[in-house]
Amino acid sequence: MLRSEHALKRLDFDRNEVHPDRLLRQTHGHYRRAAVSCIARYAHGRGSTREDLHHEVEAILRRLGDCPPRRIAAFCKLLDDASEFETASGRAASLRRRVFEFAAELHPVVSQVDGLFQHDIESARQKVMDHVGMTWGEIEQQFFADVIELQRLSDFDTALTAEQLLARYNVAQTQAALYRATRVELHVHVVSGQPSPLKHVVRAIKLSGLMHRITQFKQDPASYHVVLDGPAAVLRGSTRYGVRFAKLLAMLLASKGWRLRARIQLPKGQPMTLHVSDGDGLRGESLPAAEMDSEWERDFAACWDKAPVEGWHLHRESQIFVEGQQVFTPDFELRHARDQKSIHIELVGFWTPEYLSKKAATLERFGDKAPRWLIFLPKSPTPEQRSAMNGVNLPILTFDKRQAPSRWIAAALRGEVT
Amino acid sequence: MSPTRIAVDFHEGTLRITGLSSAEAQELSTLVPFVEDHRDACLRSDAMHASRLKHWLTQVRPRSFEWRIESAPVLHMSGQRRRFALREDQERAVTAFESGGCRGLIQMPTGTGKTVVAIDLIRRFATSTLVVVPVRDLMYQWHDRIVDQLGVDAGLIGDGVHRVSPVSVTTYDSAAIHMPRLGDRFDMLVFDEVHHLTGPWRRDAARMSLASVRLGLSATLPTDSNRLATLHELVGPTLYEQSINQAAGHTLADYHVRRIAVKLAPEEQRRYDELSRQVQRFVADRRDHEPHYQWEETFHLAGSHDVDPEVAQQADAALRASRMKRSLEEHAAAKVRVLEDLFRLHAGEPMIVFTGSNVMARKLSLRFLVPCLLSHCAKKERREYLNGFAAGRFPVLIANRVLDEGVDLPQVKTAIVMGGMSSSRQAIQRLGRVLRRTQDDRKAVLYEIVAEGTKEVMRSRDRRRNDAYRKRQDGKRVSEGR
Repeated sequence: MLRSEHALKRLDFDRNEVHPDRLLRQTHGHYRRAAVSCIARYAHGRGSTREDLHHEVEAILRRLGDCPPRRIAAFCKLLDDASEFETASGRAASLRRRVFEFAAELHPVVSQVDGLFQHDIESARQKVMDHVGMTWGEIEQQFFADVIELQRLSDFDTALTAEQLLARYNVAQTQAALYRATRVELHVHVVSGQPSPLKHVVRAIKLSGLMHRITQFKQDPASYHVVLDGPAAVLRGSTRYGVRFAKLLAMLLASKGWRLRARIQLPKGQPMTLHVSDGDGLRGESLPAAEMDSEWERDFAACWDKAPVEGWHLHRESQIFVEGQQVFTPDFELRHARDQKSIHIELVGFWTPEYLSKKAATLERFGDKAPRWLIFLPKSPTPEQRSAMNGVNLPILTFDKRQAPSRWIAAALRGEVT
Repeated sequence: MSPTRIAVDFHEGTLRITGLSSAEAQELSTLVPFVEDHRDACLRSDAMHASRLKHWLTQVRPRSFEWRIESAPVLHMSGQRRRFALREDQERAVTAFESGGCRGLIQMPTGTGKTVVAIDLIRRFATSTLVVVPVRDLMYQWHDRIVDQLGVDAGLIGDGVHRVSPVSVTTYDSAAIHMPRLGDRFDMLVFDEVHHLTGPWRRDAARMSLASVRLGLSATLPTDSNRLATLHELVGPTLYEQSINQAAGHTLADYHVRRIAVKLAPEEQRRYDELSRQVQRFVADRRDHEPHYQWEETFHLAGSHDVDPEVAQQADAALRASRMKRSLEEHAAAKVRVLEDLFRLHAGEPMIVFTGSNVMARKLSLRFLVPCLLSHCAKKERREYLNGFAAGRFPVLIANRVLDEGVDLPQVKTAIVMGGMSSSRQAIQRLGRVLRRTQDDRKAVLYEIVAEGTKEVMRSRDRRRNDAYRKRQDGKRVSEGR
């Protein structure tokens, strides 16, 4: 991620909109070549100082003629993020200590000796070199090697391509614009025939640690309106949750079916708006390991597809249940086409006792949010799974691939527990 | 019917209040600002109002409210190793704070022992305390003072350390970042150099804390009435003020300011003039288009390639020329020669050299083989240099910004300013370094080395406009030898 001093954006005061800096193939095609050169410089730059690498990247980008200083600084930061530098903290500090302690006796080191002061630069340096056993060139090179700009490159992600660097730049600038956001609104919608973004979005919201208000659109039950901010946001517009919004955006980019509107507070207080959506072509990185048993979910869906029950349709992660700041998206929903009957389905996999008890609490809390439920345990549930679900007063089945889906529906409608 | 149970808890730097009737909420609104928060079905207020809220609840619902916030622990400062006698002015400051409601500001010039006053108050209140300081060096310095004088191993929050203890020290930025999680851990806050609290972001360091005892220390409270009002709201009213003129000669050493102007070398001057012309041409050109064009707008122009790439490039070039001029002023070869002369003149005396940049600090450190304190120095190394300097093992310390404010330096009577900013606050703080009272009666000297014929001379004059530079206690001008 960039720092706020790298943020580059265009302000449209007619529409009160913020447009983060964006490099586009049509208008900034020449940046691809520059990005290749910058990457090559880092890839072959082991041993170079950060300062020198930045100067070289600056020179490459300046030659383009349309690269503002902040864009240059942002590219340097993104390249640094793909690098490792030697911090040299212990070595440099120890060298300094030895030199300063030894040279204290030589103070003041003068340019020309006279009757009072006997240590000129050359003789003082010679004494220091003898004391530490290094040449002056080595001393100069290592003396401040722990200062950030003088740290030396030790490794670089050579798999990084120019396209990836440019894509990271675009995402990073959008994130940087969000650092000044005081509130974010999301419109999330399930598109028929496409994977539902709900669970992913809910998970991203939970990971972001933001507070939310989630409402289902009455006219369009497949769409949700989510307002996100932090505890203190009701007291005053605060940009303190900006970094959380930026992290949320990175997670959202891995899914489809959303658009975002952020309220941006400029330093002088003018309110502006930033719009981002899944159609903007920003490429994201994936979420941290998901807490879902995707293989089991695939098996479950395949099982249904093999023997679907007439009149019923299986929807994946179709609904968000909300209670205060608690949110829950069941794995599946079986919905009857005609009479609107529905069965919400949750698969409880092999997880830690803490996870199981949390899951049980969630099911208890949200059990009355829908009329029919069906909870699946694995084919051979552990005693922990069984006991964790003891208090859950919802129909429970153990999953078996050979089981006919009609049996699921029957069990749910009967409120069966096996 | 029994009234609903009222509950209050701490939630990420705010107070969540539930169970109040409409009439009670109405009454509370005259005492504590809050808003209705539908997200959590509660009333929400800044954590800083906790003590007022609790006091009110104790009066209106003495037995039917649940205060879901743990009380701060009473500290056992077993050590109290170094009991110290307060000076009369310090006693007055302590009394003013205690009788002023235990929330407020104390203004005392640098070198008059603000830290001593604060440590004495921490000892008196003996409760969980968070000390908030501007820079990391001060954090370590406070830590040492607390260990030494209160016998408590203080926690540290910042500089890559996160060790929270009942008495802890942190920086303003770390306090603002972490207060949503730390705000319920401390009942007393001490803001050292409290003027740093007024930034919009840093205010959260005070707002998001439950602390009922709040002390703000400063050598120079803001003169701007809005910023001062912010401090009064977040910390408390000004309870004690001592001006630098009251202190000079009594608790501070008297001082001289000596400005030494050096000439740029011919090649430096030629380059400097060339860069000046480039900047002037750019500004003149802009004013042809916009008669009221101000130099500050150049920063914005340099970033607007999408509007007018050519002008953006010219603006960028002008900015670089301006930075290059600053660099030439600061790095003028003659300055290093003058510095050498001053080292000769004051050989055997501890001296501090302030530079305007880290690059210059490193350059001088390597040239004269003396320690420099920069932000990259780890805690241990900084302390070694500070202790070594105090013990006389190092003759000189070079510093950029890190020693600007409040960092205790022992018995320094001679300091040199090379470059730097023109703000009067910074000037005062820097001056404060040489104002330490010493055993003898020699006056302290602050040398300022400026490059003649450059903007530095103007900035130096700006600095002197401050009272601390201009007047002594008796109203006479201090000498301005060249």
